[in-house]
Amino acid sequence: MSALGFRGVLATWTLALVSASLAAVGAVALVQTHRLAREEALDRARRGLARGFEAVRLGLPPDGFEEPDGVVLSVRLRDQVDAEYADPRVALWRQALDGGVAAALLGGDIGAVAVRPLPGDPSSGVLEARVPAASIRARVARFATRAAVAAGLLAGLSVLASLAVARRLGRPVARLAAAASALGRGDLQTPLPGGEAGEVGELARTLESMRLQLLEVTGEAERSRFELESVLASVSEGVFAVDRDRRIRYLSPRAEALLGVGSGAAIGAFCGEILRPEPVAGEPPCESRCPILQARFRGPVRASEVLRCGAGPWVARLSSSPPVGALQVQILRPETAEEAARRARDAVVADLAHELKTPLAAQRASLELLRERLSAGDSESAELAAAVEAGALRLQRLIDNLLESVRIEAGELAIRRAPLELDEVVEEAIGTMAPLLAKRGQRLELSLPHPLPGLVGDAPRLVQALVNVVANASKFAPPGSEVRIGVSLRQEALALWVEDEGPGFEPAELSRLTTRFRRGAGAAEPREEGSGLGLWITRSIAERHGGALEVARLGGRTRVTLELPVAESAA
Amino acid sequence: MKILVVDDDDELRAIVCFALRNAGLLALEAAGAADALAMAEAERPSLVVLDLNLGREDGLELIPRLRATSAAPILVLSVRATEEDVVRGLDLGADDYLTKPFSPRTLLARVRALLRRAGVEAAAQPLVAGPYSLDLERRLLSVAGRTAVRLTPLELRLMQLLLAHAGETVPAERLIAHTWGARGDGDRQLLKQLVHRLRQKLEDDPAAPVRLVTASGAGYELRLG
Repeated sequence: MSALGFRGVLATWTLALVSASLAAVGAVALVQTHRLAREEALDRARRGLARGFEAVRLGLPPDGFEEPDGVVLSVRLRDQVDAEYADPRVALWRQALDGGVAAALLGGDIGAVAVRPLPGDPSSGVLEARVPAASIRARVARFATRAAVAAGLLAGLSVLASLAVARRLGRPVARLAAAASALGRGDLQTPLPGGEAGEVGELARTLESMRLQLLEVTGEAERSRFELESVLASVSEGVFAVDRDRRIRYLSPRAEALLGVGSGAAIGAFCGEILRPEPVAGEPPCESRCPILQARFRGPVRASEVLRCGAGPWVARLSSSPPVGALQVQILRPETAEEAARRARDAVVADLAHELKTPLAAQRASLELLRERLSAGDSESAELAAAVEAGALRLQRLIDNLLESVRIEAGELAIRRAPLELDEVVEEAIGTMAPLLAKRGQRLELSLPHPLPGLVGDAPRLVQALVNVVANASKFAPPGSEVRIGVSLRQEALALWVEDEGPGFEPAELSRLTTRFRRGAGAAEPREEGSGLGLWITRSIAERHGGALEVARLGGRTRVTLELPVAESAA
Repeated sequence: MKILVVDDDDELRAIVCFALRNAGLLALEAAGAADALAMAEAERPSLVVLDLNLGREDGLELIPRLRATSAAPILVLSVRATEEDVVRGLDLGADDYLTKPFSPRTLLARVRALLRRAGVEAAAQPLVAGPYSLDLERRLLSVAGRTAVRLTPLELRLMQLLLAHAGETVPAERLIAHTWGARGDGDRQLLKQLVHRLRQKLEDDPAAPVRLVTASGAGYELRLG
């Protein structure tokens, strides 16, 4: 509402309306009065004429006789009429001389004129009754003055009345307006003024029931918020949520304590600026290895990160969930002693594995050079060299798998994405596994279609995955049997499979393939070594390529399939 | 041709040098960053083989310092095969990388390729015979002027020998020995499968081969006609 307030506006409008209608009525009345005054003047002239005619008939002198209501009577004799031919009344006089009665309103000072022949000899002259223009004007003016005074009085009265009405109408509306604005400010406790009748009262009652509903709803929301807060406060993990731009949108009290920041300062800020993770290899991890981003594409992600917020650098365990709506919920807690120990162990394992790689590389390179220098006939030496190489290869596989498992545990799941040739991957894996297969007298049957669709992925990791599957096949299949490797094309994906004549897995075994350090169990298990890591890692590599690992029994054979999506450009 | 080998692991350095010397190259050895820089300055090697893991020193930091004094290509050896390490090494100026373990044969092939690219060794001409053209560097085979197909390393080695003896029967034993080397992994069955895959890449109808034909019992022949 404007600065005038409801009452002011109501009064102003009433005043404007009253003035406008008064002006209209006045204008109409003036026009009408003018018209009526002229008609009345003509009437007066006729009546005057009638009275004058009677007087003349009774022998009273007609000329210069003035009637009381301003009518001037006069006589025009015939020769006078002839003489005053220029007078505007001549036509009327002539009409009367011809024996008629005439009346007309004439311009100038003349006014209303009525004429008839004189009694006796009508052609001797005429009797004229005239109401002068000045008399007409005086009457109009008198009437107009009286009308204006009356209108003024009326206007004054109506203004007073409208002000009174506005006051009466406006007071409850103003009270309602004040109460509603208090409601708008969040004051739900003050009841709205009631008791009015009509629309205003109706409005007040509607507002009041709205207030009661709001009170109930907000009370409920408040209660559940309080419950939620108290649940979150009693949980030892901190909870926070981020939006698409990784800006913090919610921070639980426990998260505030852990991160050493209040909700007020944190909400709206970029997550990395609040958590302040320690740089990895000199680079902030927010762009390359953020678990929040990874969770968007891979489902729930857990990671350990060194944070520099709160009470100095501390190791946090972060669980990132995929987005629900626009928000992504993160759970945060300090690393437990057990996890710290496991992480330390994994770091030692990784260091050790890296340390082992160099002497192993020297050993394998030496063996290759040695075998090229062996004379063709020296089959015993060649066999010895092959035995050493098979051992080196097994060590190599173990180290590669250990390293990969440590990476997976640490959440370092990035794979390289580059175009690759699948037949080269297969060839390299076979090259690695050939000595082992040869040792067990197993034959290798390869069936690759040509041409193969383009793939994008991490070639060394796919080689590692295939080596694991072939090693598994070789381990469980009987000596002298056949191991088949093949590629089948599916819709927008290809299946790289390895088939062996081994006993396969129990259904329960399959479901446990995802667990680290799980070995095939049961009476059929051969005594060959194996850490049980192989298929777990293979599955992880397949999934990081957007694919899957499947195990199936096919007529006495076990088929392990790596399903990989085909590169879009080549599909 | 001088090759500088920088590695703090004595055994591995000895083997790399052994393989290089066997191939007729002159290998110089350096165990640390200081030695490596001094030798690069004094000896002007044509190529540097650099292990990224130099004990307490970081091989990555050595790359720009070597680059500052020499234009010789740098081949990086690393136990770290992660994308970040490889990209950082290449960004800093390395020309190629090889992860451990590696085959001496592969190392030599990479060294030769780098030397050719640096213009120290003459670039290999494609092997051409009859309708066949084989680009050894990029492993591309083109038949009768058609779009080139990429061969795997084993297919390349098989094709190389067949092409060198195009028009004659090459005995299976010889093909196996050449393709799989002295490793002894190859056998007739593997050769048969490899020939089958090569036929898919060079025959119009791999089921009825007219280019790479089986010579009764003895071996295979690549026909020129």
